[in-house]
Amino acid sequence: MNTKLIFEEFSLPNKLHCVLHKNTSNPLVNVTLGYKVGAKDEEPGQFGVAHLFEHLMFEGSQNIPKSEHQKIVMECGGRTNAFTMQDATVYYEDIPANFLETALWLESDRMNEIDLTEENLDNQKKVVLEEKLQRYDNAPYGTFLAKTMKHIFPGSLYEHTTIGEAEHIKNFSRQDAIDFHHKYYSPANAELLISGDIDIENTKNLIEKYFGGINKSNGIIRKENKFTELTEDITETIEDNVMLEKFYISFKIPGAGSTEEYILEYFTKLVFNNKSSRLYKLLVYDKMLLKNISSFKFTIQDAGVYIILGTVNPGKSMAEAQKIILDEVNAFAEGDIPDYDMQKIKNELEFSHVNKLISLNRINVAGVFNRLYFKDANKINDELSRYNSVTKEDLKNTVKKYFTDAKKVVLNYVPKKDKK
Amino acid sequence: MITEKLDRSKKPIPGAPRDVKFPGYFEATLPNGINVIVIKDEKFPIVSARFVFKAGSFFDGEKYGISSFTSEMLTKGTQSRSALEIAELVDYHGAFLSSGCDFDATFVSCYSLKKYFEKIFDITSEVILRPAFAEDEINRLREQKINSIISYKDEGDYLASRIYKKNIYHKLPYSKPLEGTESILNSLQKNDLENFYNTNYKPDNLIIAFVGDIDEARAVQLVEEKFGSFTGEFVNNTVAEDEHLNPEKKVYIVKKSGAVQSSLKVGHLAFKRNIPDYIPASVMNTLLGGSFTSRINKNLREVNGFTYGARSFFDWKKYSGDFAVETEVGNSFTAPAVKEMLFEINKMKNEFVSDEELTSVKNYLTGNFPLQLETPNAIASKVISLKIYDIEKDYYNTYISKVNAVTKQDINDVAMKYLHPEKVTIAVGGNPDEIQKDMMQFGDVEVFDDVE
Repeated sequence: MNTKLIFEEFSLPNKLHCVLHKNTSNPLVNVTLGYKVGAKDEEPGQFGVAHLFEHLMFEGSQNIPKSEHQKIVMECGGRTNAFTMQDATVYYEDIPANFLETALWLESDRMNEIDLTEENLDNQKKVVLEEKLQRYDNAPYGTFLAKTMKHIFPGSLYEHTTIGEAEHIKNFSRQDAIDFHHKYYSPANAELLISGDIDIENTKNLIEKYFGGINKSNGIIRKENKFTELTEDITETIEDNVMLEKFYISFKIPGAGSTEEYILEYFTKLVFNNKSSRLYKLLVYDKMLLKNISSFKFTIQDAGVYIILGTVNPGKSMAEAQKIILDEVNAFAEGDIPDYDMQKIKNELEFSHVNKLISLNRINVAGVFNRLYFKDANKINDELSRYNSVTKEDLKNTVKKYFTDAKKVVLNYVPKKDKK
Repeated sequence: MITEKLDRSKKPIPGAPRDVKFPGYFEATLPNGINVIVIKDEKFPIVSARFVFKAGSFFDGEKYGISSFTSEMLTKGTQSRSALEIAELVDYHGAFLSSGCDFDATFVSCYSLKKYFEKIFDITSEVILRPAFAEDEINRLREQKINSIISYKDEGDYLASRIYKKNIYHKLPYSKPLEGTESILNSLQKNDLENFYNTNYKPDNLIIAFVGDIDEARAVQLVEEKFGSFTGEFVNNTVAEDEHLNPEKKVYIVKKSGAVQSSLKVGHLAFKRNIPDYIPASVMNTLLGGSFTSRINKNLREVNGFTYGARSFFDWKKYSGDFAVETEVGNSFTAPAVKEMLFEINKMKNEFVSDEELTSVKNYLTGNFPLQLETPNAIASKVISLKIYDIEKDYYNTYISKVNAVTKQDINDVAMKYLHPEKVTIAVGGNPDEIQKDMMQFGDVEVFDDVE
């Protein structure tokens, strides 16, 4: 089967880079607009403002009042949303194909100029502070990501999370927002991706019509993202409002697009994540020390972190479970990996690759990161062969280098003593 | 190149809409009553099969949790393969196999690349037809499920939802926790599971829906091969008791230690899924709290900033249902948020919606149709739900015209009929010390340390 995606790429004179992908499976279009700005661009004292600003992009632009963006997209029968990461902020619309021009009008108007009132700014600060409570402060084990980032990336631009600090969010002024928009929301700092039932020439003309006239220059001076390696293991015990103990063991790994990122997918599936994985069988199934075990890698542009997590069954030993995990990781790096195991993961990766292609949204979200991080929309077409080229030796060497021989961060969550 | 100056104040005029029809699909019924559905789609070399028994936790009886337990046991070993052998076989082929249930149905799903599909279908047939219910696996799953229940109690929304359901559904099985309780799970024996299985897993209440790159004839052949000798009859002996609305507003707070937010669930008993008013009631709810631009989200989030998001919905089930508003708000916003919810519900009853709102919501619900049909699996979900809830087959063919026919009067009629703000159960998972006093304005307040 040929699952190669065809992209048509071009840049406007104002340096807006565009990627078009014609796909007539359904009468739908996805418009994704990614900006190269995220939590790592935030100044000290302004942690959380890139994400707050993402909310403000829905608070009105010159011709589109507050909340109208969502309303208009919904009236087209579409959906729209956005998300903020360390290195990027991404906006998208999924809409019936005949409303393509409407989506371009909406996105270009807020790239051009925002129209923010003090009242609307205050409203979204409150919304974001509630989001912070809901997703982090009030959530069981909700502090794990912030703590992990702080310990794994000390002194770097990744030391803080995108949600940021409540006080910093409160202090962000209307003028700060206007300056932020002026600095980062320009054509040269953006990637526009359109997939779906489109006519290529007509779409090019529409892009030119709506984005061609936006001319902003912004001398963004990027700060250098400097990392220091851990010199010793770090362990932190946290009392939380939870019933069961849970731990997060983290290792620093290379960032998105690295060879290691592909290699470690095998490690994840063979050791942690499947019901037939080594540690699931050992810790959840046989010994029943853990309620669950899993791992995931969070790879962003300049670096990544690999997190192993497990919830401890009542009355069982967290220390014993962690020792078994670390021993198994070492044994994995030292021992033989059967051909059968390699083939098993290849089968799984083949299936998950096809599943990445079944919706326009998935294609464009993958594409926007491929453009923002690597300036390479076609990277999605090479993924499967990169996965397939991983060897046993690669796998063992990578696990040895980044796990067995490396320092780690361990967060141990335990129930509060006065818990009901 | 475009030379004229762009007037950005003008909203573009959309192109002509593409014609949208609910796709046709293949359907056949085997002599033993199995209903086979095939939604063929050759765009990608993948196939899924979804098995649906039209019986779920509603049939649990006193041993609630048993439907959920039985369904999860299916993949934990057959008469010829152990749980680990099944997991290994499925994982080796990069496939998915899962089983579970809700109140009205039991689901087993498998999904894989086309080239491995028949192998995966084979093992899936085995887990459905010849489960072992082995003692050691029962004990393992028992412990896992009990620990999950312990863990759920960390979640404010779980606590709110439990106390809410318990207090609005009364004697109906929908009031019980689907996953059971620690004491019931401890009492379940192998023969309980076998009894539940033998009573409810029958060919005449089984739907098998294939989706993806598979021929209709081959799909039917596969079912005949594997399920041809599956016999028996499903007898529905459970009577849905008539339930009544609670007589007045009341507040229930379940304590969540150290909570800085309240998880709110505010609502009351409503109706079962299969009623003639379903479409007007859905349109009304979409306006009220069923979308981002709805009145409730606008009020609570975009005007007052009490929350990251708020929503209302009818939870339509086969034999009953409820209407609820849900949100998470900072402790000090708890009572103000409830006040605003009740204000919006009352307003929906007391005033006609505007023409603009009605047009807007109709455009959304009808225009959204192609997006809902983007993947063949999404189409299958819709077909299956029609079957579970006994909805007429042409429901989706007439959907757009029925939505367009809804009037302001219809909206007001369903609001009057289905919304009862004076009789809501106000359930909170949160911090009673911070909110209890404030909540007394709505009625009696009861505080609980825990909820079953």
